Amino acid sequence: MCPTWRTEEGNSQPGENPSLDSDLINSVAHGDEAALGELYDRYAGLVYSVALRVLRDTAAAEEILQDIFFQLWQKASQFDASRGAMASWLVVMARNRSISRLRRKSSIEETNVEDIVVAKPYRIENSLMQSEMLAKVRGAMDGLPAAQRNAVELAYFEGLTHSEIAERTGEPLGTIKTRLRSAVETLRMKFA
Amino acid sequence: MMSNADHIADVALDLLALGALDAEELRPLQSHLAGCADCTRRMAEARGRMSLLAFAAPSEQPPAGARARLMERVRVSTAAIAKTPAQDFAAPRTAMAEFRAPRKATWSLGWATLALGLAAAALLLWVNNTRLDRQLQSLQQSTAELQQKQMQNQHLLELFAAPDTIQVSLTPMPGHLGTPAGVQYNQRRGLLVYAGAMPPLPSGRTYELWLIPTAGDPINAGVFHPDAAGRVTVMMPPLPVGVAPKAFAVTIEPEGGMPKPTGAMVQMGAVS
Repeated sequence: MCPTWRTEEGNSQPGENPSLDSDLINSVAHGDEAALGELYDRYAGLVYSVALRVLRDTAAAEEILQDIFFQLWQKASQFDASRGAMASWLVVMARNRSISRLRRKSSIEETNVEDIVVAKPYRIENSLMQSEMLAKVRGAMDGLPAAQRNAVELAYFEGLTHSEIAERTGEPLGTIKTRLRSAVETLRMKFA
Repeated sequence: MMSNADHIADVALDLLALGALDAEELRPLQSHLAGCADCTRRMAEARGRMSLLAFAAPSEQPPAGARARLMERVRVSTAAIAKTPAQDFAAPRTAMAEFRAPRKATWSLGWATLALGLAAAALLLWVNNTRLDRQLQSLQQSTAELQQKQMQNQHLLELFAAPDTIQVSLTPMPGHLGTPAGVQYNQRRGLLVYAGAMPPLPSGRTYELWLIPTAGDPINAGVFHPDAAGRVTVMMPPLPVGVAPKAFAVTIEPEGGMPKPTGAMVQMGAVS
């Protein structure tokens, strides 16, 4: 199956310029190495942080980072630039690939990770936007009860399912399900 | 988990995007998603929403040289692709040159001089363009480095300021040199090791930090090298979540580190 890199526009923020990442990916598709470098400068830290948090191995995390950006270089023309959301797509790829590698199993959600569609909820193209988002997300996580936060981290960063979290923590499956439901309900409101 | 007979509830989509659902929970949702455009669109939103959890990871920067390695890989691949068409065109061009060979004698000195002048001008423009490209790349690199430092400083501030950060002083073991060192550890924000004067290491050796849990074997917390003055300020790779530390220790191990401590323990400190 030919990989398709698709994203969808979601809740845009007022006054934003939706074409910045799109312009860069278009330039990359035309062989512009500097544009790839700029995308790397914007998002490499985020992609690497996710990979390192999952894999806890700097060499393996760099390998994931390199592969994702190299694939961006090779397949940029397949990215639907008119619909943006580069950052979210990169993060989803970094997280899914890292967990697949960690757990030696196929992708945690789809069988073809390149075929993932990610809506565009927020803008994080520069360091200021990233700092604001970092504060927002960490504030939301800090606001969760410790047990809920721990369950979310085990699911997101270690790729554990309900039953695997229950086994890891030694707590009843029903308790874990309730915790994660409450946590994602809270996060959805905080991220809105 | 369906909100009604037709559509999947937001909470189920979020749990699916989070990767928390077991196989038997996944199957009916995937089956529904395959035929429901509205839920597929909302699934994309859930993925975007959950992707923000990436910001909950401790902020780390890629190793020095990672960017250069990527760009080199790109250049090598580009050169490999460019080589093939150039070789394809080489044959027709040679044939054409041979076909036109008798006309070379008709070239005047003036045309030759003009061609040389144009070639020289093109070369100068290319050299100038290359120099400007390098300057631009250097400026972009500097900007990226400044942004990286800003993120690192912010991460350190968060680590030090967090109320649940544990501070542990490490002291040299008897018979070992070095000034006291320390670690700042927060399960969610990372682990910082710092020291003022660690003795230089023998060739092929590294310092390795260990988290000693309240139960179980020591956990490898990463390797580090002091700078030329013996100073150490290093953010270590993330550790497993949910492990309560009893103490931290430093050993000297073969380069690259070991999964379990094998060398002499040079520093240690208990969690108070």
